[in-house]
Amino acid sequence: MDICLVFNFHVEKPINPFSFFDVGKKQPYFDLSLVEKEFVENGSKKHLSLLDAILKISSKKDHKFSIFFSGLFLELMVKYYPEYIREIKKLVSLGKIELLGGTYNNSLSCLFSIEIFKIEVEKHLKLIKILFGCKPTCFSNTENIYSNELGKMIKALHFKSAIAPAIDWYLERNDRHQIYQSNGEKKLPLLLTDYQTNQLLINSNASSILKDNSLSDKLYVVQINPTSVNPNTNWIDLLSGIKTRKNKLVSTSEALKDHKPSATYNIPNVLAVNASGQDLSYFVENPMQKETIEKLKFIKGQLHIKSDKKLLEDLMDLSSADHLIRMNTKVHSNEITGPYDQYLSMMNILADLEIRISKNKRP
Amino acid sequence: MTKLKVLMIGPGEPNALNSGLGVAAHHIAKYLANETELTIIQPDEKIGQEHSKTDFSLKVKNLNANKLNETNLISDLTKINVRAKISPYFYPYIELADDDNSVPELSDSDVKTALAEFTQLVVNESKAIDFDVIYAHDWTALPAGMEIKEKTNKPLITHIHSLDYDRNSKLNHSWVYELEKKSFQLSDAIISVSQYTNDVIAHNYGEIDESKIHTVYNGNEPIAHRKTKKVFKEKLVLFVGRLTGQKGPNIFMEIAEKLLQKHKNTRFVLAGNGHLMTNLINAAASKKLGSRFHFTGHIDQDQLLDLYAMCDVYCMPSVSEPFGLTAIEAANAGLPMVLSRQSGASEVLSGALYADHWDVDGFVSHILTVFKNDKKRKKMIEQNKTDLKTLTWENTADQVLKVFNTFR
Repeated sequence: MDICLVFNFHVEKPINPFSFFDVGKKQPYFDLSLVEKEFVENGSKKHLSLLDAILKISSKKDHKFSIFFSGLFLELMVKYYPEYIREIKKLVSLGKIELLGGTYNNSLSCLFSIEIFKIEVEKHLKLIKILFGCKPTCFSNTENIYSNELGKMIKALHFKSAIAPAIDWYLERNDRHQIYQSNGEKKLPLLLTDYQTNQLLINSNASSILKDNSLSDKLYVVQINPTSVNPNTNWIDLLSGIKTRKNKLVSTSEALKDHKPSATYNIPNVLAVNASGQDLSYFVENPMQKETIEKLKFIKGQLHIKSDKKLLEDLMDLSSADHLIRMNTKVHSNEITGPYDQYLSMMNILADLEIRISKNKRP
Repeated sequence: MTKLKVLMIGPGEPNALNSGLGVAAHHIAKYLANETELTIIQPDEKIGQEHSKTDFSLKVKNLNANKLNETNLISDLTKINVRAKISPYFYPYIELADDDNSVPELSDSDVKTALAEFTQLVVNESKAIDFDVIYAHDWTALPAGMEIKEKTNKPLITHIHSLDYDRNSKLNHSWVYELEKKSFQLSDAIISVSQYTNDVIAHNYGEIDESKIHTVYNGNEPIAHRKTKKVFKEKLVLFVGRLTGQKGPNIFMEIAEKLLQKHKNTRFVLAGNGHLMTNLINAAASKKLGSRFHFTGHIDQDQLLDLYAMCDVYCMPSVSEPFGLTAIEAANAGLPMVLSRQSGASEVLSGALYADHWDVDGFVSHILTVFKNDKKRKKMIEQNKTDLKTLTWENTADQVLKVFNTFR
């Protein structure tokens, strides 16, 4: 069996509390200094211990890993831990680490504007090129959002494969541990990831899977997001434990060489199941989330993308899935007003952005 | 003529929790202090804001009324049915700042116990005070007022700023309603803040001798005119009030929905906090109004004055509003307005436009008139300003004094 480990490194850039009285007063939408402080004081520990383990294991052994770094994560790493960037670049050039493409801001733009989605993806590609001198070939979308249309779009952006969520009701008895291909004229190989397998492997229950399948020709695509794993995890032990004598840790492109697409994955409607098993309803189901997406779409329509560069940047930052999950009343049910405050702040910020756009239009 | 000795029960100063009642009682007390020998017994409210020092000299007895303090009972309480349908509970009148959600939820019997304790403290205090009349504000002061009347046989004058009938569903009668009813029968005179409240008392509280009910309107203080930069290109319609059924925030949302169909370039500002907040946010989002419907949450006086300056129309669709001090404030700030007919303010502001609270279309068409007819809009503002000139706290206190003097 082959195991393809895919790590997601991302940092959230939360919106500021933004009252009605802040609208039109040039108040900042984000507090980047706070994000940086949090990253240096707390966030980096979670990330760096995993990165240390990846770097150590992949430089010593023939284990390969795939990583998605979001734009802001890389910006902060360049600023505070540039030595890691140099180290990763070395391993990328040796083929030990494969970098994945995706949206710059963990964005949900694919749900409301393909144009912005493309800009986000290209912006991310550009940063990877600058920092690591390479071009990702496999695409990992925000929260594993996927549909036939998106498959075409990803293909059109010259990616050679993509990660898609294993959908239980769709697959039924079909094996999820193999490569599928997208539905459409131009086929895109799809690596299906299944959050239940993720959970089993991360929670050190790997042995049963590894034992039962060690002789099979199956492919396990396992996504790991360091922020949603127990912070006391010993990554060296965990990653070493996943590798046995009979299995291989492969990168996404190696997986594509060894496993050929067997069937078509036909997903007409947009779906998602992220690494923690949360589906699209976590982000866009309640009225506040729906209204926010609608409003983002409306504002995109007002924007002149080529000339309103700063406004476009703000819109992209506001499109992050992180902002919408904070409006989820089920996830944040302990906070009585949290999701509602988040929504009100977001609406005020979008009203402010709308005013800035209309001012820009004036001659 | 020797000065009349008045024992006042109720708040002598406004604070974050007693809102309109505190404001009115404070202003009246300020003027009465010159004309009478006034002693106030009030609960020592520590929650909300720091005690503001009274700016006039008079005898004030602050009672450390334990539970009453903790729960701010003196503030205007409203009875609502808990979602869990266990038992009715109480919550304080005015919106609390977001960081102050520590007010405990009370059961009916907790409130009764706290009120009984407060009443006992007031009655005990009153024994050492020499007075000619008892002057009680709203329901929390009524049991003490009645008991002192019974013991001393001095005339009891009740001043009603808000009724259980307004705050509560009109369908069921709570013990607070029964308390009010009993006190109306016992009172020697009832002062109400509007003809509207007068009628409510006369027609909904059993057999009350109408000749003892006196309407005395609240006063107002001029506010410095503010100028703010127009931030929005759209017209802004303002709602101010607690987010509870009585104030009609849901009617305001219906108005918004219909008005947007006729006048796209409009935004709505809903200022205030209350138990309907999350429901209203969900409703606004579901109706896709979210981007045109702004919730400010709790605001302070300074922000309120900013809102008056920023907005184009003030809208008060209250289901039952004894007076409506914010309407007076908004008129003072020069805002044209559309008010519910079921309000006291509608009796004194002849420059306002009116609709019954259920008449959403009426509100919409009046707001459109304000938007489109500039001449009329200006006339409305001027007319209200003229009306406000006669509406002073001094006049209010004078009329209260006249009622007192009938018992000399």
